[in-house]
Amino acid sequence: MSPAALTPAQLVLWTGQHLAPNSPQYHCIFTFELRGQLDIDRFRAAYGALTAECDNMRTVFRTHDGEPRQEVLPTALVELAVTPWPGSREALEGEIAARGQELFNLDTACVDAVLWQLAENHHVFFLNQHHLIVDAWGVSVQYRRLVEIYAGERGAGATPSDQLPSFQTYRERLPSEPVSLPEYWDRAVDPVPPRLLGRGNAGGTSIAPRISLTLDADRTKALLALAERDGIRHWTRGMTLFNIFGTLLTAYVHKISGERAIAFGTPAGNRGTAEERRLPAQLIEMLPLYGSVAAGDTFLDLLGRLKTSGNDFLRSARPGVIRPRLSASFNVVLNYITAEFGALSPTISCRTRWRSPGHADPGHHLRLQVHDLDATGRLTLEFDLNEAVFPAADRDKVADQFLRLLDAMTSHPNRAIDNIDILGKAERQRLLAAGQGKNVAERPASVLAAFRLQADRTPDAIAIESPDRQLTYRELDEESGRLAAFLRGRLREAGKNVALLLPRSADLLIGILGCWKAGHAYLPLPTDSPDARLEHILGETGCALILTDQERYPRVEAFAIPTVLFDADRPAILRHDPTVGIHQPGDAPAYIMYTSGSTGTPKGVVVGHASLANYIAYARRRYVTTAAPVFPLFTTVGFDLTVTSLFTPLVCGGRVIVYPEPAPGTPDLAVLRVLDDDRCDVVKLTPSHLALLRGRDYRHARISTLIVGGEQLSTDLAREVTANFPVGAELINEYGPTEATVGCIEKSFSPANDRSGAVPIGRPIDNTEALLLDEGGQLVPDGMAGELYLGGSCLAHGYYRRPDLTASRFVDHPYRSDDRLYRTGDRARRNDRGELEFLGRNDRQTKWRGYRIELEEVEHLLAAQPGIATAAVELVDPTAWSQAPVDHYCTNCGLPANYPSASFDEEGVCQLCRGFEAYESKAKAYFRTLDDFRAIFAERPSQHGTEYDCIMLLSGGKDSTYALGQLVELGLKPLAFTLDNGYISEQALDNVRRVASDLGVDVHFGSTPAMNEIFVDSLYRHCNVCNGCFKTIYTLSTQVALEKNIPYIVTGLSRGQFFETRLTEELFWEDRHAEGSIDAAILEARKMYHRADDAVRKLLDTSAFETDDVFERVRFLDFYRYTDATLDEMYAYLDRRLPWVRPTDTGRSTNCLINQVGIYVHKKEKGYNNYAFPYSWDVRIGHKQRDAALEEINEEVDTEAVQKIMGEIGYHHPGENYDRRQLVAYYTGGEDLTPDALRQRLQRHLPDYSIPQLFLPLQDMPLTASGKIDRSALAALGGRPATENVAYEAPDGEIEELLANIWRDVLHLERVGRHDQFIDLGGHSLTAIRLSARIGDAFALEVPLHRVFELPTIALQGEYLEETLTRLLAETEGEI
Amino acid sequence: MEERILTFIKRELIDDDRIDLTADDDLLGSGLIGSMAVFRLIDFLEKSFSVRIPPEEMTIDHFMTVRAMSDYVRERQAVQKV
Repeated sequence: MSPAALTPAQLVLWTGQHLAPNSPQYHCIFTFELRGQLDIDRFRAAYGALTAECDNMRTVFRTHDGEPRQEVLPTALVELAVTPWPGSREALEGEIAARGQELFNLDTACVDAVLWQLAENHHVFFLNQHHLIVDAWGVSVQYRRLVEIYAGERGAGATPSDQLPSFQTYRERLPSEPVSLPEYWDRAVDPVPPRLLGRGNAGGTSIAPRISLTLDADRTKALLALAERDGIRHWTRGMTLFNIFGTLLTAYVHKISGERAIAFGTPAGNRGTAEERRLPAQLIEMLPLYGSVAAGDTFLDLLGRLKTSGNDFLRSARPGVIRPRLSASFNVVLNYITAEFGALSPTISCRTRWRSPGHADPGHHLRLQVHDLDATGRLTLEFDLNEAVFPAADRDKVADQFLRLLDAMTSHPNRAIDNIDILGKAERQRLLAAGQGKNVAERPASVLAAFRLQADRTPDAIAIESPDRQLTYRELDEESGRLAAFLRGRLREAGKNVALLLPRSADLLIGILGCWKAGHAYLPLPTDSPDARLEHILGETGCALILTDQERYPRVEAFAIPTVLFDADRPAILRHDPTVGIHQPGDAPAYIMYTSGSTGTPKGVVVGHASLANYIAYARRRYVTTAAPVFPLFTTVGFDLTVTSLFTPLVCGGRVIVYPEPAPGTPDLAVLRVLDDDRCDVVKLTPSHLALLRGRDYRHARISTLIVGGEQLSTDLAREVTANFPVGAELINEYGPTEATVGCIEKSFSPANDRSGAVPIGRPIDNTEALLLDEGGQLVPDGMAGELYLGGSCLAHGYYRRPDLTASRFVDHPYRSDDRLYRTGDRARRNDRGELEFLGRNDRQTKWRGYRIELEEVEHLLAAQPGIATAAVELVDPTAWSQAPVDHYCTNCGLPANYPSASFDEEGVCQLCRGFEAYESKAKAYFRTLDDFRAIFAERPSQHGTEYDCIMLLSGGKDSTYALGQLVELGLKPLAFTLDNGYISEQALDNVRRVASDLGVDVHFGSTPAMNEIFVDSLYRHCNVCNGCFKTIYTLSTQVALEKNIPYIVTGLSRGQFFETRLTEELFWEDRHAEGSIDAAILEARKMYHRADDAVRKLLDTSAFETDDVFERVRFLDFYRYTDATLDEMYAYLDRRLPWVRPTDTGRSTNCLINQVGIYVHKKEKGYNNYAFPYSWDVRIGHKQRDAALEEINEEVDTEAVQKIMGEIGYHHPGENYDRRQLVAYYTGGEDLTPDALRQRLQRHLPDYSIPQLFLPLQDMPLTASGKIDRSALAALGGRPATENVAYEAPDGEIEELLANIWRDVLHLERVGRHDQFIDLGGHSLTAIRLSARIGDAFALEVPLHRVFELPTIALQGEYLEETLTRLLAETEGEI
Repeated sequence: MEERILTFIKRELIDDDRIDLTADDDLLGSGLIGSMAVFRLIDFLEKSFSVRIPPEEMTIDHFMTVRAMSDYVRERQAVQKV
């Protein structure tokens, strides 16, 4: 047999093996343990006969010109070796495992078999075959045939019909063309492969240990009972069990990944016919089966959907459907094996085992095999678990967890999946314990009590120091006592809220302590609060009193709330006795802190004294390493981050140093002063503050501890900054929403462990709890992302006067009644070291066209690129921007400001006009005179047998009608060609008929039944109808010209249209003898145009354009290249000479009714009228008035008429439900990086759907008052249509040119850009193989196949080749 | 209709013309035809009797016997005419 191509199913395996040449992942290893009196010679002969019958067992795979081929060797390769096994049965297991991993040389043999003789009546037959030649069903076919031959039935000398069919004969009958993708798999949106246990990548390892379990009798019984139930029972028991295990697997994957849209791969058997069922070959194709888990779904819900989906799957499956995109769309596999084996003979029993080679395809993170090979009635489940995704500790849990689901399903198929705990009691206890901070009973009742204790201990130590005054502990205690006594005079009852509108000062602290002593909660109002915020807060809280000073009094005067002025009322305050009736706060509210919240309405968080005391006691134990530590007060009191610095020093004899606020409107750079003064031991700050310290040298500073809170801390920043601080100084990352009192999870930054991304947030502090729950409120397994819930002493009381909000965010503890948990809305996971990692806000994780996108993940990766200073990624609607009213039109040509990349100079003139000024004179050389036109016909007169000189494309509009008239005046005999597209206006048609008959010209009306389909295609492809219509006209008129042997087709395109469609600026750059090369370039463009794959090419006969010959036989002439008639001249001629009437029935100057559909769609999709650009050219070259152009492009379309036509042609405009948003990356810095360079860098880490479509560099990142990125400002910036920056870019340099040639050849393309993606261009494994071989040849270098996939563009491959070549060159030089 | 379906099953799916099969025989429970064969049968029904069978209606009730099949197909034909 001559070498043959591989089937698509084989090719996938061959490629997989090629990518992992040393992995035994595709070994199909079976052992048959035979007990009984075996006739060895007979068995050996039977095996020989089997290999003679099975051409697959004699098939080998060899590469020819880089492409794999299969061929069948004429004779059996190896005789069955029979070897005595002297060792123990256990030792044989080791031998089996080792032998099963021995790699095949695919070009010599794909089978390895041996018969071990353990005892006279005990044999083990080992049969290992490469998956390329057989699948599990195929092995069972081989075995059963072996049984027949051994028994002497239909054995030697069997008739051909008894023999097994030949795979190669079967293969030859398979369609050689690629099979089109059935609708089931042809979805725009595939579910994303889930991250199992938070791990999305196997890192290339194929090692996948197998966990096996056989269901016990009870479970088997329960399962079979379930399978018999109505509504569950399906075609066959196998099919029913497949559905049940598919349901369980989908539910399990949901439980360990959190995903809801889940696909698993499962083999399409492709054995529908009797012949196929007897083929001992590899026929399966692993294809995705789609399922989903909605909130509240029961097992039965899931099963019902899977059943329908499975029907669709099986219905659609057929050989050749498989393709790389599908193979890559799942990482979980269910293999339900129905093949059966059984005894060798009535006297020889057989135990069949399918052995794991210990490896599996690296893309398969979890595979579940279910089988009952020897029909024992008990099912065996085998899990192959990729070692990188399931490390040993997690691997051990899989079987138990899966069985818990199985038991839940068999006992309660109607139970909601969300409510099922798969972890089990022990694991649940372990996770609960891991989420629990240390239990520390000993703590002060309140910060106030602790302060007073400290004041007794160190009365003369300085407690607070500010530029104008300093107070000892005794003075602070006394002054706050006097204030409390004074307040008692004003507010009879305790338990009120007192607003503090005071700058950072000693008074502020006196005020807080005074409030507490009088039994009130304080409510800090930052001095820079906007009026609206003050109004909202004071209005909502009904503050009993405002404590402020004279300077700030006017801001609160209007609220009619009693006010104490610290400065003016001081003499009165000081008259009070500091010691009487100090309130014992208990767990009364200590403060109310207002946070903005994502909804925008500020909400007041009420924090009690006990929570505050717990935090401050922890901060003292954990953060303070020196006696009498000094803390700076330099951040706003309206932010609970500042609480650490305000109170921690006061409970341990330390000191607060006040850094006053800057003048309003100036930046607060106090952090620099704090560090430069070098008087503090502990500094609490935000990562933004930390970024300000970049590049400054504090290695000899006093500081011992930096506590970072408020935002994500990147490891890069942490590393950079710690290097600039003293050795031994600790950088602590603290996490905590206001609702959980300042900080409740923390960890010390470790440069050794915390290497990439963000610094983990660590572990819960003393007496607090941090749990990760899934959407069903169940604990998630370690490693998997979940929502972070907080509990214990850290919890705030709730939101001030917002009981509904409080109830929705502070929820019942799922495992302990009476306890509450705060639902943070943050996503986190626990890493291998037991630390929590913050993954982002729940609401920053978005779904976009079915894909789950972690905006923060993209942001971090972008920010980590060299040179990028800040980055933000948002989903925004780019059309919102383009739909905004246009505020400017080019003052010269009328180009609107929302035309992509339009820019204007200070005179309001667009860059196109300015550019044209530079080449206008050169462009003039392109135009000719009517004499030249006449000369063309004189030079090349009509051929004999032709009655026409040319075809004139006549639309009935003024341009083409005028041109037709002129042709007749020139003495030519044209044939008019008019396309009746079904929507041409009646008046235009009348014009055509009238004018033609007046001129004595014949008219050919072209039409096609495919017109509507072409319109629809054009609308989807170009957002207009004209492209499709024009191409139809050119195609049909060329057919007429060829038929009638007419040498020329004359168009009536305007000069504006020339520039719009073909006369690009570049053509005039060089002073080449412009004419020849421009015409050649235009002709080339025309060839490409006709060969582009679209509806016209599909639906009309375009075979004529396949060869260049047609462009020689029929030439196109643009009439307006040869005349410069003005608008007035044209109208004058038409009015005087021809019976032409200006159309009125289209409501515009065009003569086609469907045109407005194009305009409508274009405006909707791109924001601007599709005529804006061609008209700007008409104006620019003086063929149209700017005002007339503007009037036309701003005319309203008749929406009703448009909808009606859309219905007629069958175009569905993506409606309101269509997600128009695009992923836009905003960034500062990175001037050296183009958007394409950024895109490529992200492509190394992220799936395509996570890569921003648009990269917008900004001068400055907009920030909110608290220093965070202002996302609403970014949304207002919007984006622009993504097509702009994915433009074609020509290959650059010799290497890329060479590469581009190879790509074009291999992919059969005319043009390939340097950033075009291999897969997008239709690349698949076979082309990748050819590509890698061809590149290898061209550069005399080994280019591994996987590189083609890893470096999917010419630019990336070029870079790789250049580096490799340079390195090789350097090495060679070194050798010399 | 029953006769045409029976002939198809015998010739194309079971590959045994001589087998004795009636319109009321349980095809699925008896293991006479497997799940892959069901889909060939569905293709045959759609083409031969001009019906479309949606995946959610491919249930055992409709395909257990040849009689069940023909009843269902007639039902579909009636629905599609409306």
